[in-house]
Amino acid sequence: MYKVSRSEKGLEVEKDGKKALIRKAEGEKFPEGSVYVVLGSITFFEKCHLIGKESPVLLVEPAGELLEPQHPGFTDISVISGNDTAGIGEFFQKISPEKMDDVIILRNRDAYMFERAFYQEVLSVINGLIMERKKSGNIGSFEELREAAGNASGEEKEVLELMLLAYSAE
Amino acid sequence: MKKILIIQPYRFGDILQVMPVVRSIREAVPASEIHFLTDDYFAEILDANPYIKKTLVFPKMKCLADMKYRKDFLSAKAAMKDFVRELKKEEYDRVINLNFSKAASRIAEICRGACKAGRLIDAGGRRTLNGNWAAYMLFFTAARKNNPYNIVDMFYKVAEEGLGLGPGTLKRGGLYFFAPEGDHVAAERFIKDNGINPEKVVGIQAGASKKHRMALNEKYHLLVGEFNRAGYDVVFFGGGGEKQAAQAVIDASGEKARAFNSCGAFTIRQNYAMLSRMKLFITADTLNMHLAAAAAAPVLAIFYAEAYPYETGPYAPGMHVAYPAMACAPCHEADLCAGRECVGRIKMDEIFDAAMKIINREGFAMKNYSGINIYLTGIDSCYRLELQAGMEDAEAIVNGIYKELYSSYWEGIFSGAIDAFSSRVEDIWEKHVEELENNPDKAAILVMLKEKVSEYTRLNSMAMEGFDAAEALQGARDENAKNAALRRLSAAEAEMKKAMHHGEMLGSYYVVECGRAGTDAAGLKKIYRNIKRAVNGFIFALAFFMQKIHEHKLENDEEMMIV
Repeated sequence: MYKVSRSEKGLEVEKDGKKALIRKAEGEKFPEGSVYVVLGSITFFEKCHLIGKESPVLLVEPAGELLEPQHPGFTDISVISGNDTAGIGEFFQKISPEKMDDVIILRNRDAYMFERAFYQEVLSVINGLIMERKKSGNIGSFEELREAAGNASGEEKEVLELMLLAYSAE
Repeated sequence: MKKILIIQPYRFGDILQVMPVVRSIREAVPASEIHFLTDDYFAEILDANPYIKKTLVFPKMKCLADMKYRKDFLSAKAAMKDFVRELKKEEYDRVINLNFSKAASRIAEICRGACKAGRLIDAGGRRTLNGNWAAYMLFFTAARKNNPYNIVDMFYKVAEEGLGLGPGTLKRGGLYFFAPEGDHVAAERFIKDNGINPEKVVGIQAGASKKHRMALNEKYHLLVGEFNRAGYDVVFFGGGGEKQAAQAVIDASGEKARAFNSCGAFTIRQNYAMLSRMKLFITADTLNMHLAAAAAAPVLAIFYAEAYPYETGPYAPGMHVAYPAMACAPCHEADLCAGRECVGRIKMDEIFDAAMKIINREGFAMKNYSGINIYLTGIDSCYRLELQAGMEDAEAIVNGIYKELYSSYWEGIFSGAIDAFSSRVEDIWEKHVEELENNPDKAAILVMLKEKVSEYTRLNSMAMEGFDAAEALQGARDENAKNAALRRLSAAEAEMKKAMHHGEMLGSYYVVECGRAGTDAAGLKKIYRNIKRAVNGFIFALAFFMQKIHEHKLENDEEMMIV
């Protein structure tokens, strides 16, 4: 279960000891170059001044009734809807590990949205991906991959070992 | 048994050679659901196979490209993670790993299966071999000359054992492949656009994945000329990397040569469609050789000494393989071989002569060919790929007898019916009696058999020493006795390993069994007992053959005297 609490900056969502800050949108300044994940409806986006920014934006909307992906003004935008949590993974694949500290999750005004299973799932996936990509950010060569495989355990080890074997396969 | 995973991730030739096994499993166990694991380079071409329910794709090519060329390790990791999760989602009743690469062995360990056959590597890097035939398949190359099994035969045996089916349960069948109609259209278009005569066209592949299997390109223009004079067009086959070499052959064939370069022009499926239209396909030991055999196109494969028709010859009846008749073949030393005499043995005028006889369905007179044998493939009564030659030299006959003895031995020991080995000897004699009777060089055969008996006598004393030492270790009461026994065992082991490196499969058997069962005294006693039993059986069998040949030789001598 998620624990949702209010703070000065916005909503804090916590699960399994991991926290995500959900900022209030209205009236805030949004830094150029950050990565934005926006949970909520189109009316919200228009207000949040993301349009025109050189920032990758992921729009998440369960009803799938949102804007066109090529919405004018957004320079780099992805949209997922329905139960397409795999789309979140694809979005984050494009983001470099060092940008993971600059991920900003935005919500609309509906404070109760996190009681919905879909958003809980989305948050879980996003937090998992951010953590993993931060961790994996250190791998940039075969030697580093080998070292990471040596230190890993469980599924992480299996994945890294198979990467090593794929690398060295004839 | 419902859900079966078969693992064969690399090399399309190998994947193609597993296909008969897939079909046979479906026929033997109709309720089974077969999943096939291969890499992302070949996965797509399995889509048309009706015997495969699902293809699991190991993202090797993607990961390789991501890591090596794009330096994007994260993308590679995401793909591999998806693969591992997909793999673990399935729960298999049986897993058959037919590829012994590290990746395949690790995958076989990672996937969820109640019963796994083949080679496995666990998280700690420990390797295990499940199944006698899997062990055989891993080590047979140490003594390949005595190996009677084609790789497809071995896949069948590993699968039968892994599925818990009796020997011979899976009905053997030849290679096959599926290409949708669209791929045949592409082949038809190539023939039409180039004005090729579809009734008189032969294919040639000059390249091969291994350089020692490759024919010398400069020889092939001679073939082009001969075929053109006989009214046949020639199409060159191969991948994009072979296009330039094929073009060089075509250019060397002269401006008016009717030779066409299809290298790199087709997908694998289209290649299959194109090969199925050839009246004959001449090739080295290549993927296209197997593909042509699957298409039932007549094949004349040219094997140099590094390849071996028994191991990798086209697994379909009615195919032909030209192979140098040399004592050093099959060899592992191609890199060290200065002369490459085996290459010189293949003469294009003889290949052309044999090719036309195949096309015209004429019989062979082997004596017309100098230094090569041309084998005709078939499936024998033991469900193995059989090679029949027009005439064998003395050494080939002796090797043929060893092969029979060995196959009888392995099948006996793996199925727990080793006592049946002795009773098979007369059958083996019957099988070879005709070629022995017709061979003028019986004296040489007798000498070779005698040499082999000497080898086995020595091996027998080594096995006895090993057995005694293991027994001494078992009964050792103090440290001194134990150390003495261990020293004797170590010496016996060194001899066994030496035997393996000299091509003796019983040496391989020792190494494999020790690797699998450990080397405690009881285990060693069992291994050495089996070797002794086999060696005695072989000596008995060889003595039987010598006696028979000797009697026969005397009879002939008497006849000659009467005349």
